[in-house]
Amino acid sequence: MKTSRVRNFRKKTAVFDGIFSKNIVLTYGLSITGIVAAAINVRNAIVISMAMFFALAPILIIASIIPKKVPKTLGIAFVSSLSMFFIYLSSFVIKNIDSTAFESLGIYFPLMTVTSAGIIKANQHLHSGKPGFALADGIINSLGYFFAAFIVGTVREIFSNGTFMGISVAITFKIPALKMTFGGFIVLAFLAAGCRAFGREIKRILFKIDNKINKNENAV
Amino acid sequence: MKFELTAPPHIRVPDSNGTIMRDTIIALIPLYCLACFFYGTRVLVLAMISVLVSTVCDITGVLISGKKISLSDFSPVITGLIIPLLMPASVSYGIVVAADIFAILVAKQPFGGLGQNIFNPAAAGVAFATICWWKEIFSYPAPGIKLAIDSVITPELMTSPTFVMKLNGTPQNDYMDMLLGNFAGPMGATGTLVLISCFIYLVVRKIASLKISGAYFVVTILMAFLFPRADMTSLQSVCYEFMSGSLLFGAIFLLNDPVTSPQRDLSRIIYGAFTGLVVMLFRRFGKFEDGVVFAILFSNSFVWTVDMACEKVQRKLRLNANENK
Amino acid sequence: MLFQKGIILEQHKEPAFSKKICKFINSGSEQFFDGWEPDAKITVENLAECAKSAGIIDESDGVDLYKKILSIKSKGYYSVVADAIDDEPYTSSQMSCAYWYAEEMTGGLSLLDEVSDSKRKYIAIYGSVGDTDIKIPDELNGVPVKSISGRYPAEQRAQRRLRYRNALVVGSGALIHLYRAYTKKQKQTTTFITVGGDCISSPMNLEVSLGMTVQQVLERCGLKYKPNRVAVGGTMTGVGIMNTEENVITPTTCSVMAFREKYKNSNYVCIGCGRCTEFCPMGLSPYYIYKFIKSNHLDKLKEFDAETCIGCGICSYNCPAKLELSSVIFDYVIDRKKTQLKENKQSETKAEENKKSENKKTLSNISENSVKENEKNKQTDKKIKGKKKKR
Repeated sequence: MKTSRVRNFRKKTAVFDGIFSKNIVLTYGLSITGIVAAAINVRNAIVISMAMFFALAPILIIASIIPKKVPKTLGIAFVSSLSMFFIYLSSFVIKNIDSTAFESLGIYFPLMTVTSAGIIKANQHLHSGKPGFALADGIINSLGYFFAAFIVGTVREIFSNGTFMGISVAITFKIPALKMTFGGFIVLAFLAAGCRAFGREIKRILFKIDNKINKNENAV
Repeated sequence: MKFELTAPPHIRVPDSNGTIMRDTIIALIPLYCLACFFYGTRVLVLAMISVLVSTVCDITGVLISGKKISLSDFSPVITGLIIPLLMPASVSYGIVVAADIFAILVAKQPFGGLGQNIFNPAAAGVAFATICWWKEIFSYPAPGIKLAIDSVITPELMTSPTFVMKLNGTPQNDYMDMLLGNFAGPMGATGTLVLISCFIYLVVRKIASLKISGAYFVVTILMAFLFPRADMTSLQSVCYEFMSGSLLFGAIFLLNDPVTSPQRDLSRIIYGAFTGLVVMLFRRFGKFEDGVVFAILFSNSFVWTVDMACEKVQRKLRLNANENK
Repeated sequence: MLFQKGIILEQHKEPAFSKKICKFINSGSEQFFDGWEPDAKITVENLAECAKSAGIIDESDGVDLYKKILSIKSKGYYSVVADAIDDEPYTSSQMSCAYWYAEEMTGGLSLLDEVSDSKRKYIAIYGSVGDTDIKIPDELNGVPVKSISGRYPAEQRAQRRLRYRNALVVGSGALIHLYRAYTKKQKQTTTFITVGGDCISSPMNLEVSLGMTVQQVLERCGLKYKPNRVAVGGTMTGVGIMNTEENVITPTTCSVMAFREKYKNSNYVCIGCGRCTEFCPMGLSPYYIYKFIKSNHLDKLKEFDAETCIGCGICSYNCPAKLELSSVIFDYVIDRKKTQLKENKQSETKAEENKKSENKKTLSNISENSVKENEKNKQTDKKIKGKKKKR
C-alpha cells in the first residue's frame, strides 16, 4: 500500500488540524453546552466563540509558563480557574461590541469558564515551556469552535426563524424545534458526521490514486 | 448433480419478513377506508406523500451507510402509513414530510437501520411534530365534512375529548359515536370497533402479541378505574380514557413493533405494563393532552435492561429444571 | 403436553409409510460369517460376538451394537426398548421397518430381552402422526407398542427420558440385522432409508445396500423436478450434500431428501420478532446468542448457556428472515467443546509436569536461596559505603 500521498497531505494540513480534523467540538465532543444551548442565531454564535477564545487562549499561555515544580493536578486546577478572571475582563469588551446578543445569552456566557476544552488543552500544554505554540493552539482551536458555532447557528436561525443576522430570508416552512436544545444536539451531530465523512472522502480519493481498492473492501 | 453447501434445517416456515410487513399493511387499510369516509380524499394524498418521502429517505440512509438496498421488506412503507394516522386530517403537508424525515433520518438510520433501531421511528416522528406544531396537531376537523386537497382548510377545527379531560371536565360524546369513530380525534385512532378488529386480525396472524397489549390494557383500565380524572364515575372514566386519543392505536401498532419490543415473555409483560403506567401519568401530569408517543419512546429506552434482567431470571429457572431432571 | 416447548410440524409421511419396503440391493451382495452356532445357549458374550462379526451399527446414534450389548453386564437395565420414533417430517424409515418387518424386529428384541434381566420390552413409535393411511396397532407380534406423542424434538426428549429411566434403547433396523445375524449368520450389508421430498415422484422406504451412491437412489425413485438441495440424515438435523455421485449410503443415513426451494433470495435482516426465543425447547435465547457470536462478543455468552444447545433447528425453521441461526450456534458449541477438551488435556499434562518439576525444585531451592542472600548482603554493603562517601 502506498500511503505517501495521504501522509504528505496530512503533514501540510497539520496546522489547520484544530479547525477540521481535530476540532474540539466536532471530533472530541468537548464544550458542547455553548453550541447546543446558546448558539440559536448567528450573533449569539459569534459572541459565544469570542467567549471561548478569551477563556481558552490566555490559560494555555499561562499553563505553558508554569514551572515544573508545581504538580500536575494543582497546576491544571489553578490554570482552569483563572479563566473566570479573563471571562470577566472580556465581558466589558463584548458588551460594547454587541450588547443585545450578550444579554440574550444569559448564563451561558459566564458558563464558558467551566469548559472541558480548557482542562484538556491545559493538560496538553502544561510544563511545555513554549508559550508561542500555546497561543497558536488557542487561536486555532477557537477558530474551530467558531466554525462549528457559526454553521450550527446559521442553520438554526434560517430554519426556525427565517432570518440571517436579523435579515429575513425567503423560507416558507419553519421548524420551531431547532430553537430548542434537542434540535441543537441533532444539528451538531449531523455536522460532526458530515465533517468526518468529508475528511475521510478526501483521504480516500488521495489513496485511490495510487492503490486499487476492490468493490467489496472498505479500505480507508 | 452438484449443489452449494447448505445448512440444516432443510425445510422452513413459509413466513418471511415480507409477509409480516404485508400483514401489518393489510391491517392498516381499513383505518384508511374509515378516514376517507369521514374526511374525503385528502387522507389518501397525505398517505401517498408520506409513503413516498419515507421510502426515499430510507433508500438515501441505506446508501449513505453503505449497505445493500432491499425493497422487499416494506418497513419504510409502514412508517409512512402510520404517521398520518396519528395526526388530524387537516394537517398540512409540510408537517407530515418533516415528521417523516425526522423519523427515518434521525431516529432509525443513524442507530443502525432496520433491526437495530432503539426507538420506534413512527413514534419519534409524531413526537417531533407534536413538539414543534402542537397547535396544529391538537385541533381536529369535525367528521363528515369533506376537506379540500390543497392546503387551505376552511371548516372550523374542534378539540377532542382528551382536551376536555385535561381541563378536568367530562366529555359529552355519545358512546355509540365513539365506538363508530364519529367524533373529533386523530385520523386513524377514532374508529374503536375497526381498531379492535384489526387487533384481532394481527393476534391471529401472530404479529401482535397478547402479552404486551394485554398488560398495557390491564394497567391503563385499572388506573382509569381507580383514579378518574374529573367528576366522572369510574365506568365513564374507563370508557372515555380508553376510546379517546391514540391510546388504542399506540397499543396495537406502535407497541407491537418487533424491532423495539423485548424478546422474552416476562419482559414483554413488564414492558406493556410500564408503558401503560407512563401513558396514564403523562395524561394526568403532562403538558400535552395526549402523551402516548412520548411514553412509548420513554419505555423503548428500557427494553435492553428489562430483557437482560429477565434473561438472568430465565437462567435460574433453566438451572433449576436441569437439576430436577 | 400443553407446557412442552417445541413446535408441531406437518409430517408428510405418506405415501412412503403405507407402501411396503422395496429392496434396492446389488445382486450377490449378501455376506455371511462363520464361527457361530444358532443352537448354542445365548449369553451376553455370545450375542455381542455375533453382533461384532456381523458388523451391526445402530442407526440412531452410530454406536456399534456389540458395545451396547456388552454394557448390559455393567448396567442393570430395567427395560429394553425398540426405537421406532421418527419425528422429523418426510422421514419414516424406523417406523416402517418396525411395522413391515415386525417378526424379525420383535425376534431381535426378544433376544435382547432374554439376555438382560429386564422386566419390560416394548416398541416406541411416534404417535403424533395424523395423516397415515395405516393405523398403528397396539401391539406388533405380541410386543406392546407405546406411542410417544409430543412436539418436535420428541425423539431427543424421549431418548433422554428413557436413558434416565434405565432403558436400553436400540434402533429397529439394528434389531432386524441382529435377528438375521442370529438365525442366518448374515452380515449387515444393507440399511433402511426413506427417500422423500417434493422433487421425488414416488417417495418410498427402501432397503439399500451400503455403498450405493445417492445419485443411484434418487434415480431409483425418480425425480419430478430438478432439486436445489439434497439432504442426507433428516430434514431438520441432516447434512446438505454437495455432490450426489460421491456421497454413499452409510448405516446412519436414515433418509435422502430432495427439495426444490432456495432460501437465499433476499437481504433480509433480523427484525427481532422473538419467534426463535419463544419456541426453543431448551429455553435459550438464540436472538442474543447469534448476535453476540456474529459481532464477536464471545465473553458475554457465559450467561446465556449456549453450550446446552442440542441443534434441533427449530429457531432457523421459524425465523422469518431465513437466518442460519441453528447451524451458527451449534457449530460454535461444537468448536467450544473441542477446544475445551484440548485445554483439559493440556492442563492435565501441565499439572503432571509441574508436579515433577516441583519435586526437583525443593532440592535445589536450598542451595539457590543461600546464593541469593549472599548477593543481597553485598549490595546493601555497597549502598552504605556509597552514602558515606557522599557525606
